[in-house]
Amino acid sequence: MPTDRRDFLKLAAASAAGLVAGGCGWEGGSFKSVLRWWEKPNEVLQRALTDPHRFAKEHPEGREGAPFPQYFISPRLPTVDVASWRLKVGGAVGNPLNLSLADLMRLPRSTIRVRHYCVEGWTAVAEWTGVPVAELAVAARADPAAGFVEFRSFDSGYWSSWDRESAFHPQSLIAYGMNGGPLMPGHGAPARLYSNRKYGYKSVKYLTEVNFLPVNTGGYYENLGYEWYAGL
Amino acid sequence: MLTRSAQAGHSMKRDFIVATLVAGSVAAGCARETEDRPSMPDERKVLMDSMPQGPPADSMAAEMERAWEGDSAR
Repeated sequence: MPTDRRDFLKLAAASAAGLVAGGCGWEGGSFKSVLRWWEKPNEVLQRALTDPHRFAKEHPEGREGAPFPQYFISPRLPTVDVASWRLKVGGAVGNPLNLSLADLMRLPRSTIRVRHYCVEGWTAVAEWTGVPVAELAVAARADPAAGFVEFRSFDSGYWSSWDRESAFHPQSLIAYGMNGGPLMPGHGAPARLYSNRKYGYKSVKYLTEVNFLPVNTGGYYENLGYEWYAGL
Repeated sequence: MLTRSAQAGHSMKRDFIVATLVAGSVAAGCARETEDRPSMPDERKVLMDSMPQGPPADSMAAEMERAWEGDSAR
């Protein structure tokens, strides 16, 4: 029990915070504009603090740590017939592509073994094999003026858009292999975006489209209020 | 020099300000995660319920294995 008015006020403060936290259905009111305004300076600060050209440290085998959780927004695990699946590469490109998994596997590939840091607090090491987004841009002859890359999926329409610089980092992959084998349905097969330079919700699984665009088209969680740049 | 009651008044004011800031910060954090639903154009929405049911996960996994092995053999 509070022993004096000061303790009572502290308890009241904690209760007020708890009530507000519990009532997270609140739409934000006038805070929204302030928070939206603050995102841009925050992005500038993140770009300044994190070298966009830095390579993630490669980890030796046997240091996987925790298993990689599976994420999707659909009510059930999204699956597709691999033989008929295609990855459409479009937007501001000179050579639109419609790639089968075999086509994707024929493009220049890269394998990275890096530690992933999740916004939820866990980390895990995994090996990823796939086509660097920059190589996809070369194959599609993407317009250098297209400053954004949009990734779309068959996971109930989940999507995200990236700044060109991050997407074109050599360790940003359209991955179809994981831990020395094929990418499995629980991890975004037939192909997913992977980079450890951004939080996991930016790495779109179950890909259907990669579009090189002159505009930022947001993203599923980004439009719900999560940070758009989300750099690490 | 402040009297005892004046000091208590200042402490209460400070506590009230701290309480307001804490509550405001939590509210701001919550607001970040409860903004409007994505404004994706309807024609671009791919809703799972309107999609044809995909194959069972194990048969899709087998397809991925075959594609991977075919690629390794090349």
